[in-house]
Amino acid sequence: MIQEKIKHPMRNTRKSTENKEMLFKAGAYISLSIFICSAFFSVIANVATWTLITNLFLIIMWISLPSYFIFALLEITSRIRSWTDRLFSIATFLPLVIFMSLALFLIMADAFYIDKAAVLKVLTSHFIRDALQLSITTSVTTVVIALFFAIPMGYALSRYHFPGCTIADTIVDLPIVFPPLVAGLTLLVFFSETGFGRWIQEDLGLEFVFQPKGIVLCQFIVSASFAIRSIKSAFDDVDIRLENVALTLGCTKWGSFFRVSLPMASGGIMAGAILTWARAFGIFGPLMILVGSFRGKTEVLSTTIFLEQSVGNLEVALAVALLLVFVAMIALVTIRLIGGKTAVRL
Amino acid sequence: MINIKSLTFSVGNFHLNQTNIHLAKGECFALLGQPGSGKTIFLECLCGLNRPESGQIIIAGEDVTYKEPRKRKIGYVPQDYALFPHLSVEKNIGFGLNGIIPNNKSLQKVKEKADLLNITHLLKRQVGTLSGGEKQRTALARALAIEPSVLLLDEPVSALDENTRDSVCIELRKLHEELGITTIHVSHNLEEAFSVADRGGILNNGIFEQTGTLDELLRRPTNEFTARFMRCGNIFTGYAKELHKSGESTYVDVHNTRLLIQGTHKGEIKFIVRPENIQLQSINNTEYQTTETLIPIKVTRIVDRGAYVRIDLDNPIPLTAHIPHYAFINLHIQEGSRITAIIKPEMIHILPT
Repeated sequence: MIQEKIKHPMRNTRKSTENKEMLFKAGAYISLSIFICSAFFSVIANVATWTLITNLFLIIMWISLPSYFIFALLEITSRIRSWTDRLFSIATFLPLVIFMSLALFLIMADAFYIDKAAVLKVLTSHFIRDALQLSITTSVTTVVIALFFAIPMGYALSRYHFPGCTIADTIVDLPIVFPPLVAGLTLLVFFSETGFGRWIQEDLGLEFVFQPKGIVLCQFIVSASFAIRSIKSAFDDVDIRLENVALTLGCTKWGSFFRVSLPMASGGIMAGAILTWARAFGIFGPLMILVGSFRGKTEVLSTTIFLEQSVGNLEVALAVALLLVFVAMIALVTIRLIGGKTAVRL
Repeated sequence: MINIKSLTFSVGNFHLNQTNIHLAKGECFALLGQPGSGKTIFLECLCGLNRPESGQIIIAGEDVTYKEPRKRKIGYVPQDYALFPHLSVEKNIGFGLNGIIPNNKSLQKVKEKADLLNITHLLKRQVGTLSGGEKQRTALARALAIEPSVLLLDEPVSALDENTRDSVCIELRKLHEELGITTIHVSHNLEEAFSVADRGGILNNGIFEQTGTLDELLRRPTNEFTARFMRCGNIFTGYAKELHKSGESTYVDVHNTRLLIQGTHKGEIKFIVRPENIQLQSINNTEYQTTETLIPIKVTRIVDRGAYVRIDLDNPIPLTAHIPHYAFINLHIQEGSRITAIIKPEMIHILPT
């Protein structure tokens, strides 16, 4: 009897905490969905110049975003009892709120600057369509080539402790700290001023300067390091003993690599591919120097933005920028979802 | 079956030095040693993952010293099993069979090995969801699937809890008797070694201190390290004084005490007494035999170790005795009591100098 009396209130409090958590979770999801929808519709209404509806959605937007953050914070702190610990969660959560708000503000500012004419131009202009197509094909090609290098390189850097491997590791990282513009300049100097570069261009007939091939080369130079870095750490996480066991089970080094190390590093390889693609897709500086921006030939989305804003078409430039962000977001989310599934399978 | 001749291998500061060992066909050999003594490195040399600097490894009459690991037909179960986490239990077991695409023959073999180890119901499971014992069986099945002529088990049960460990050891022994595969079982645990193997070797810093039957290692060690490793703390240095009147044993002085040791000895000798071979009786108990050495001694510490009671004694001679619990109850002693320790001459083992 006594036990039951003690048990019941406890069970009730646990149940009420669970209910509260469910409430906060639902609240967070609902306000986030409202925010996304209202942001989307307010931008459309703004383009269509329906002022009243735009303002209405804007108000909903600026209410739903803070409420999302509040619900999320409540959900986080609902299981915490003491105030000092609650303060700790707030202190770690707050920077996230500020950063996310800043990013969203910036995108919304862009979105509200564009007008109907700009959107129509982006949707109908075949130059922009060509640029988008070229952006996608070159960046995907870059990713394929980068992986072709990065997978064996990541493995070598992870497994072999050769003399000077720390220096090799640093050289591989160099393009990450290189300003992209400098990469373009260096490539231009290489192809026009050095004997080897001229030999490649003139005698071998591999033209890079002012050619779409040059786009891939620029993207590869500035983005491959991300793939190498990420894949190296993925191979670091694969226990060498697993490879060793595979060797005793009848595998050659090739077999143990393809049947054990590679599938186990697939998460890191996917992450490396995403990073490389994101960097390659948005790169702009070196392209302006090495390949220029010829309409319909070497123009990619990022250079379109520069061209449009340099002739004063700020609305079109921003509309293209939004298109770039939109495509990138779709790609990232899709890859994350596929990558997430493979991660579960691992 | 396995013949290792002056095998030498170095990595960093560690050296496997001129290692010699011989294993008969179908034998289960316990490789004992403290962590860091080179047991895993030794196994890795055997299965070809480490390339020895010199020496010979001969398996079934064939020199495999410089053969690739995959051509040695050695089943290797590393510590913590190293199962492939991205594959199911079935694919793990079948890993060494006919490449990537499973065929009827390999599936049949996987099933056969799974049956042998009672893990048929786990075949479709992912490795991450298995318990420690299930992982161990899977790793063993994977190693057995390639029909190895030698099985190397690197601490196969040390990751398991105590109860599972006991039953798994018994099963390993049964499996070994059934299949008759020459096995090297690495362990740092004596009970485990005794329950799976008949012969063993103690590795210390890359050198085999002693090899022999486990009984020899335990009761007739050839050096102090082996004695200490086999958990015998009663190691003494004494001086042979005079012969017993029968002429068959010698009186030896140690720590102001006189002990009777079998055989004739001269000068300084080193000897051990296993703690379980020391008899204790209460001080006023007068029945004893003349050949036994009686030492009136003080109890300094009593530790109940569950399976036995450990009693530390001192004054005049520091001794450790392990006695069964019922004997402890009958003694009616506590820390500080004085009792009589009896060390029979035949229970004293002399370490060769």
